[in-house]
Amino acid sequence: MIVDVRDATVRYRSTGQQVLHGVDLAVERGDFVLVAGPSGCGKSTLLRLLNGLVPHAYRAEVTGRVEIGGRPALEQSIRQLSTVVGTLLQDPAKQIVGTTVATELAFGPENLGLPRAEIRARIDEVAGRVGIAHLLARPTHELSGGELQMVAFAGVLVMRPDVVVVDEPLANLDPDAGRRLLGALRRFVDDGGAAVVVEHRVEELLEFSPAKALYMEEGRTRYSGDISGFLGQAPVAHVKLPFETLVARAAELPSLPEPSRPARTGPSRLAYKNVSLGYGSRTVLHDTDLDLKADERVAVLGRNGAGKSTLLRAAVRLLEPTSGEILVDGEPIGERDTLSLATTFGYVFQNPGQALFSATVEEELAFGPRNLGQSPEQIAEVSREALATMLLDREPGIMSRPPHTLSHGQQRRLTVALALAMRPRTLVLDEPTAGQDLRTTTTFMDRVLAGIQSVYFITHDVDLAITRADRIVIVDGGRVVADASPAELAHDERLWTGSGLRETSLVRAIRDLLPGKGAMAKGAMKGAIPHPFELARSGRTHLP
Amino acid sequence: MDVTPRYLGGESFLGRRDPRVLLLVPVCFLVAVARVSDLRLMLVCALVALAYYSAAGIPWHAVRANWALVLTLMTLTVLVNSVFTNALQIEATKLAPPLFDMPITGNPVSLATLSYSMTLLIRFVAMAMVGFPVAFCIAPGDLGVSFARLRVSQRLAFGVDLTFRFLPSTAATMQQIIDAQRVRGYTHPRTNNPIKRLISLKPVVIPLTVNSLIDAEDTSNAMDLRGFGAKHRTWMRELAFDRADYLLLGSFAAFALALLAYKILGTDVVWVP
Repeated sequence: MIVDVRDATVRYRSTGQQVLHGVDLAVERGDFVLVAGPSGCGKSTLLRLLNGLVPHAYRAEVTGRVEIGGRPALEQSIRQLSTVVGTLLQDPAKQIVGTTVATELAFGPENLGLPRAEIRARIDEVAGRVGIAHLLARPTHELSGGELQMVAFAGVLVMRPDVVVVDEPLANLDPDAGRRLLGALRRFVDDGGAAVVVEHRVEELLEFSPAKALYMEEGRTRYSGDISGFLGQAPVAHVKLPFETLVARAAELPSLPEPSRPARTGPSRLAYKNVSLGYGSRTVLHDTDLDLKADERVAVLGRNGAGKSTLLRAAVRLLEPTSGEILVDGEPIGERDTLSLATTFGYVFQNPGQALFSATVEEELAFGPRNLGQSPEQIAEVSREALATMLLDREPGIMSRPPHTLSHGQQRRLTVALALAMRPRTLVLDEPTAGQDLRTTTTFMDRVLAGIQSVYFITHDVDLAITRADRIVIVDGGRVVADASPAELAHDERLWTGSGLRETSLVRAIRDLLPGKGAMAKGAMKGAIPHPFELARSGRTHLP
Repeated sequence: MDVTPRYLGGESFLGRRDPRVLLLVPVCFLVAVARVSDLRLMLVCALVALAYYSAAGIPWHAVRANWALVLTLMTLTVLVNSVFTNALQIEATKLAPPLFDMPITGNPVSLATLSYSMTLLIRFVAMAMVGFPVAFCIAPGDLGVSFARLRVSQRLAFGVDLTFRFLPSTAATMQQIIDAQRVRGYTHPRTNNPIKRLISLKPVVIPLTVNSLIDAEDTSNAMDLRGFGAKHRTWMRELAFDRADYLLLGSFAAFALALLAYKILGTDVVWVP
């Protein structure tokens, strides 16, 4: 037994909060274990317990039995545990310390004091196995997101651990890069290793055949067993389950009245006319023609580094086109400065921590409107409205709280409120739900879409785009390769073999259950698709 | 903003040297030129520095902006400390007959003042010439191991490596923070008041600091999880002095000793033409 955790409890000394209550986990060679549960349920603490960060780095009281590699974890240092438990963090950029890929891979074995010849042999072996041998001489700061994650994984494997614990590997990766990483992880398990993976995007993990699942809520085990049992018991509103599972459990799916959204016909809000965009001499997007309407919900999909953010950052003049023309509300963007554009586009960046700097939420909310020259009365009014839209006004004493004391989910909603306080007509969201569980994602998107009619958002989550957008734009190879409604895209099978995207079970279900172009007029395929639960109910009668 | 470390002199004579040589030569040179007051002797030192700098093969166009900044700062420092004021209190400059008084400060300027100021400026420039190869001729990944092999503590040595590793990503984070604040109406401060400028940087400095602290904790944990911190650590990069390294280092050590002896014997004074 590599990992033997029985009845483990963890209470952090810094907060006094008990985050694990009698959790069990057993991992043997050949095990591929999925750990799922809503944000804050204790998944990360469980991983920290396995790799020794709890209690060695995060001071905590631990009770119960925690044995790693056949010895009590508490008796082993983090360094000793690192030869048994390899850890892959959610953000590889924080894990990679070498200036080149080769020095990065050498880091762990160097710390173990291994002879140089053995270090070199290990690097060659792992680089070949993971498929990064061609990257060895590359500086790490030049790697793409997907390459970084593979290098970080190789850096873990080169320590030759018995088990690898992985924290949300898909949160920052496009589906293609995510599949490559999970494939490498599967091969590691097949070669005699073991893996424990925390992940919200359950469906993508299922393709790699995890044998066991642990589902947690509020620090307690709600389910522990095989995958089929997990799929049968996981709460449908909290875990994004494969469509086939939704069909099988159609009887228990809640009714969700989703007002249908007809096709949008509003005026142009953001138009790109033969626009090329880039940084310095590097062109990221070529000859782009696109016209986004003033009442549309638009999702922008594409692989890491494809130019999704570049496309939308140009809307607020964070970069200028190298050629072509951008029009905002029909006028050339060059006539507007970034501040004036902030009243048209409320741009929300992925990391809330990059925006928050004030001592209180009230001051934070006032920053934008004050820059627009609004009076204290106007500022107070827009602040109240923005907080109410994002349901943050229900938090006691929210206005006087320091922004950094809010939970991560609340901080995300606050950053949207900061943009709304500028009273924009369109919200632009960069990866708004990365790393969030289904319930948090649903609540967040419900609030955002209820607050403003026009939203353009960048995402890697195909199902989020399919279910929440009127229109999907796919960027790949420096060009817009698709621009259509969710239903139209679902029926375009050739799209899903390229563009770094991956066809989900929901996409297949739309194709199977909603009529295609041949069966209906093109106009009928515009607009939002029915909620997956409604589709699943209809699928119960239609699918074989 | 590109703050990626630039490795410009990789194939030059100095680029082929053991990086420890490039770290030790500036130390020797500093010992040699410290407190040299004679302009003629300093010119000789500057010629030595120029020869050394030429051996680095650093393309001029790549470092033109760096030299412009360094020369501006050095010239200002010298003018403020020895021409506009006599902040350094050099005895010889007081004794020589003044040529004129500086406007505003009234500092008397003599030939000795000008000679010493020129000595100072040339010393700074010579030190910069010897220092540039450290920045541009040592591969970024070699700095940590070089310090470690110079018996600096492993943690400090690796800290140097990490600094270069995280410079580009910290700069990228700062640009993202500036962008995040620009879309809320933040603009670069347009005031000459340094306190107001500092306060107006709050929307960038605070998120940058908070993010850096969080990232540093995550990175520190990630390093611990890969066994960092043991007493014995292998450095995969092997360093070995060759004959040219010994010769170069020996020459600069001898140069330092010779000038040290010259200064101790008390024959070094400000040269007045």
